[in-house]
Amino acid sequence: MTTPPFSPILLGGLLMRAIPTELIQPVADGLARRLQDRHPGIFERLSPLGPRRFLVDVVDLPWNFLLSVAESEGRVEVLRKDADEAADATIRAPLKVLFGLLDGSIDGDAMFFTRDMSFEGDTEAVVALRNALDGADIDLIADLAESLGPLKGGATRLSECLLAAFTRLESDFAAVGDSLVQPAVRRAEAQARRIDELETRCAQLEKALRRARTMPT
Amino acid sequence: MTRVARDPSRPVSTLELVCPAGTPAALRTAVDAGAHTVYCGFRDDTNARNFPGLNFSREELAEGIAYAHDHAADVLVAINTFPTAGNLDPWHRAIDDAARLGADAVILADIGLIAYARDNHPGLRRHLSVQAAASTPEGVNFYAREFGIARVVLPRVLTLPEIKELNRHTEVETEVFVFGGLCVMAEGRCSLSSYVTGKSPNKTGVCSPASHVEYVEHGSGLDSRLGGFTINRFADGEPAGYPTLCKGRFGANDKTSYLFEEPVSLNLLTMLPEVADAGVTALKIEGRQRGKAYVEKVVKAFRAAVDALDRGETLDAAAIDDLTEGGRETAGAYKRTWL
Repeated sequence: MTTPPFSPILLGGLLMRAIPTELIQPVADGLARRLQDRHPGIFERLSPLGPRRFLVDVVDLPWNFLLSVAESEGRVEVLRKDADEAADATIRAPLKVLFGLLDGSIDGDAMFFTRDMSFEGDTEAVVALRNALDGADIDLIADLAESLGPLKGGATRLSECLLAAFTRLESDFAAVGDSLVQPAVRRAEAQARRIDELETRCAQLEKALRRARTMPT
Repeated sequence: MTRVARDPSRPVSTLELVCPAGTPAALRTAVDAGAHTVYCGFRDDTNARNFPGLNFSREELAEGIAYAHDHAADVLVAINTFPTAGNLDPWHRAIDDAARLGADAVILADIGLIAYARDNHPGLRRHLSVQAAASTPEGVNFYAREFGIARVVLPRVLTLPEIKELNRHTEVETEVFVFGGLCVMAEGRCSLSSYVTGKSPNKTGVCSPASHVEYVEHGSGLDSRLGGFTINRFADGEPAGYPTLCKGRFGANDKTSYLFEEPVSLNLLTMLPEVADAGVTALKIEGRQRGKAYVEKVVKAFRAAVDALDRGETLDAAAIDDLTEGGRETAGAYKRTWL
């Protein structure tokens, strides 16, 4: 199970819980339209699979996103966490990881191997989605700014400022998080070392026991 | 057989870095990151990485080749599965199209297809895929003599001394895997995945197809399954892996362990001087199924290492551990310690 990291997004997500999904939906619609217009290859690569529904559980936000793909078209529906929607596959990851997967700056396999993201359901559909997104050269900020028409320049500058501020905030959160969990981490590391020692000892004893059993009497 | 795009400024002694591309975006990433050569395949059964959403249409390959050639990089097209009798057309078309689109070489495994390429496209450079499992000078020289093979991709089961010895007895260029997933079976002949899924990696181009893979979360961790069989069980927090049968954890003799191979990745970054000394021509990075972030990071690290080697400098291990399967790496059979 993917747990949300201690980050400004988690805190922001808690504060945004009261925002109704109807207010977020237009943003999701706009993004889906931009992706379809600028990156039709995504849906073309997914089309051999037929219609598919992906539930994207952004673990540090109060909403899920249901991506439906059919006949080279896609739409995104914003859902409350407790909404019960059937999907072919569910993908769980923090927002930062999902953004990294969208723009190809993060390796999806590495994220999965290290358990920073998880999924369940139709593996073939998830693999195809990952490959299609990775092959698309998506630049989310440019895509969103582009949709704002004449406000594009201002939106780009604003997003750069916000990203810089977010990076600073994230670093502060990491420092606070470290100071809070360090004592527990040290205890866990000591216990892990002890367990390793005991496992080694156990293995030695098992080996000795097997030898003793197979020795001719 | 001439190489169209090879960068004339590249020193002859330089090890050629052959990098994976599963999509056009990954091809551009690999070229920008310093790949001398990129290998890729068509979006069908003709190549051994036939994963959903991956690979190239004909148009995409044409654009990719143009991009690579503009940046003095070569493009190799892998047509390295084995056609079934009576259904040769897709494979013949793949070879014809690779030649028509200006690929610098085709990577082939099936002996009939190699003959087809020799007869119909004599000017197209032919590489012998690892799927052909040629591992002796006699085998490699046979392919060179009869089919004009210019390069062989060696199986990942040879030691460096064995590769050096092989190179002493052949004029054929050798290419070895230096990073990525590690196949320890007789490649091109392994039927483990076919046995469990009913789909042959050697004929349809995918080992452990995603359509047969399941990940199931449960209270104490994560199970990975292939064709309905549990292949591995990962505790919470333990690095996970893809469920290929040869890298599963099985119970035997009252013990649960990796019977064939652990889910580790090959990494020869710090062994490149020894690889060069073995007479190898090209270094292959595995991972057409991996994303751009992987391609960029690994290609940059290896290109820096190859350049450092050219300058006679000591190689530093780059931080690419996080891209390895299971978070662990090995020198594999190249530095065999178990015999």
